[in-house]
Amino acid sequence: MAMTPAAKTYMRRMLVIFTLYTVLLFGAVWTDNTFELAQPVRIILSLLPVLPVIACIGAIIAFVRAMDEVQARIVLESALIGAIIVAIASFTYGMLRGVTDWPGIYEFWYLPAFIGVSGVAKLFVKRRYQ
Amino acid sequence: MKNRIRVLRAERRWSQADLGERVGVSRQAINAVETSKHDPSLSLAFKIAEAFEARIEDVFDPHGEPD
Repeated sequence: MAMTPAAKTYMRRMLVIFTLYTVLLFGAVWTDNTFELAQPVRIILSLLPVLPVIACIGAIIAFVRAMDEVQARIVLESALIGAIIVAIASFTYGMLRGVTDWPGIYEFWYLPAFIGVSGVAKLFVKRRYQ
Repeated sequence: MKNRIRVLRAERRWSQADLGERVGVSRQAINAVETSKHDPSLSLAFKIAEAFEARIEDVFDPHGEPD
């Protein structure tokens, strides 16, 4: 299926964003490992890779607004299901951790978990409108 | 909400993709509206009616139950 112009723009913007993210991430790790840096500088350095991820918001919103109402509904319903499942799962795990010695979950995993669960949810939501 | 999109399309020999192109939405969106899985926005409902050169109430019946 051919990509719409909006989808092409979205893919292009995401490619730039994730290239920038990768460069900043590896650059920050290398800088931190190579130099003796003061704590405030290390904090700023650790936040640098977050900047391109924030830029994702604009790219995603622009893409969803360019969709027709059914496509947008599918994406939004999937994202809502993904957010609810990840929130309930982390909440439940937190409750269980209170009474067990299970390890904590690294915060890094929430975003990939949300994207992954939303992606799976989209397969089911999409079928509902077919 | 019941609609006559399938009948009106068949009369004109339009595919769902043809109608989607005329009103600026995907084939999937036309299918979802046609099968009453999605109630269209007022704007999309008017565009669909215009594409068929019909009045909106001749295409959509808000009181009818989907088949």
